[in-house]
Amino acid sequence: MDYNILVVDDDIGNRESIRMILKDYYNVSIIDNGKDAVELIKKENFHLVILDIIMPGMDGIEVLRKIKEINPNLKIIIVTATKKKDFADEIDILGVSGWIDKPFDVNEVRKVVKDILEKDI
Amino acid sequence: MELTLQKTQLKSDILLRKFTKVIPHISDLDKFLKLVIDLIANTFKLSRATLVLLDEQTGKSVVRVSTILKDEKNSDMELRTVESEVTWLTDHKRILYKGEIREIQQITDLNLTLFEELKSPELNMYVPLMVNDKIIGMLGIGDKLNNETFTSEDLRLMSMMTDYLAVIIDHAFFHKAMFNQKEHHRNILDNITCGTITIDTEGKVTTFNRSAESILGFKSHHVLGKNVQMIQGNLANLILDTLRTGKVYRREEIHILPENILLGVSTSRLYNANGEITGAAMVFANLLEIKHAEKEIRRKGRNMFWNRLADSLSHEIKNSLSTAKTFLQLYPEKLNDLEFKEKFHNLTLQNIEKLDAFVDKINKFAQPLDKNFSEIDIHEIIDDVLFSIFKEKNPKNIIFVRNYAKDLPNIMGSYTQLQEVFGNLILNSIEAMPEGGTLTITTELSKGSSILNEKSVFLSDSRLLVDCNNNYLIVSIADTGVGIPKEDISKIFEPFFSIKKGRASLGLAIVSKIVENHNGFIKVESEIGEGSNFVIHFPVE
Repeated sequence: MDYNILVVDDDIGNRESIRMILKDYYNVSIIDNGKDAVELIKKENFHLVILDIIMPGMDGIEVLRKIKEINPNLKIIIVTATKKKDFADEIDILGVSGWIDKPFDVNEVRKVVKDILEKDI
Repeated sequence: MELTLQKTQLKSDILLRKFTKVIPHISDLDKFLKLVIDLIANTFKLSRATLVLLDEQTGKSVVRVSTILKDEKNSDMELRTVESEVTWLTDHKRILYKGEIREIQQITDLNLTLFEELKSPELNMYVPLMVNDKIIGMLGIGDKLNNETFTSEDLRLMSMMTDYLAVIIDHAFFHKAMFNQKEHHRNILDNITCGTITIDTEGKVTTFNRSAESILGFKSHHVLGKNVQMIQGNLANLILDTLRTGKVYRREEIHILPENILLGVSTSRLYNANGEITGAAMVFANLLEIKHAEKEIRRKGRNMFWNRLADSLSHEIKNSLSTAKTFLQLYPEKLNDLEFKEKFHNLTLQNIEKLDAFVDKINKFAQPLDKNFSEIDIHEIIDDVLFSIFKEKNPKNIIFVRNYAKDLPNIMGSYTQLQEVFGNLILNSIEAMPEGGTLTITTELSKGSSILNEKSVFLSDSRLLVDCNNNYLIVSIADTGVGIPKEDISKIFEPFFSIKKGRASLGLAIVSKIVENHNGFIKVESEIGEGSNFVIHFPVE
């Protein structure tokens, strides 16, 4: 099955890295801000969103909250450089499928994404 | 005749003897007045006697106490003003008789209505209560119960009584005022958080307030009147030294063991109005409490700083590392992926440069700033900065307005440092207007005093830096951007604080450091959704 993944990160290096890691296996779209991400999720059908938690403008938590309003079942992976400690409670309450730590490890990213996508929808 | 004289003598003796018994009750003024009026009424067998005292606060007279010996209603006890009567008595300084009222009212505009108002039973005369030619009240006298007329001896006795009465009441008021004043001072002493001890010239404790009790663990009733030595050796020595030598201690630190209390103590000698030494006073506060509180604030501040530093460093470094790591890890499998090779080669390089710049920024922030100042034309620097921003960033949808004052004096400063100040502030303003807007740069010259009069918010203690006598060159950089949340305004100049979350933000911290290096200060006005105004003040020498 073809999976559609959206990567939301304001840092070009990060979003290109994730796209490059996953592009041979999935359809990966990238976007650099939360506001446009939310609009895109309303319009298109994604199976997974990989979301940087710290972004200028609409930050990751806000984006997460909006996504949950639009589609509570959409799977979400949080990208963080600070080991979950920030916003951990809020994120837990809103519910996410997994975490990816920076700097990325290619194999780990692929495994986390694969595991999450292949779990029953 | 002999008999009458003896009778009168007896009456005055009895009156004086009884009056002497009444005087000790002066501490309770209301009781005293009641006793006096009863005494007067009984001595002269009056149908009624009324004492009216002038209220010092309102300047109006009120009926303080009234006695009716006949079986009458006490309907006249309510307070009323009797200004006209007081005015007349003050002017004439003698008894006012009821019979004269009509005549007086015909020739003056005085409204002597108290006689009429107090009808049951009627008053016949008012005897003034005077102290040093000042009326403090009056004694209203009704008919005698046996309807006899007042003899001249009665009137003489009555006048003598009122003279004594006036002096006593005046003193009573004075003492009451003193007592209130003392109570007031005691209240203050008991409620201030500093321990306060005073001693007399013999070293005996005369004041020991509530805070002194709680700090030193003594009860005041154990200490008052005792030698101060019993309190605590070091403390006692300090105040006794001040008493003996006049030496004033200021915030002297005294460590009290074994309770482990550190006190900051100040002392001074006490003098009376004649300049004679009456004792010494000592004020002290528990420094350990204060020091603990300060330490806690510093610790919290340090923790917050390290938290922010750690967050910023991880964000910057790990972002950069992510790209490099991905590039290296994917390299073997994507040898032939042209997009990968081109894109990641560039991205990795960019990230390394970014990291390099970030480290530079931290280093720069940590370095002390030089004071190699030269004369500077502020407009030249701002225009320079604007020019390079236009060249490099070419900001879209932003209108630039320059409101430059004419004939601004030059200031002493560092060209490169100030370039950085305006570069940072202008770039921030542009970033705050992602949808476009207006950036207005205004310069003006202003007096320190008029800066203080303005309403806008001063950052931390910068209000204290304003020298009212100095002129200030003011540069304000105003945008119509997103604005800064109120709770963040005081923090934006702290290193690594950012409202652009996750960005290593040293920009404004550097700005503030440079402005301080120029002995200037910054004010910020901001409204969410309306924009921000950064106002920088440079002193003009």
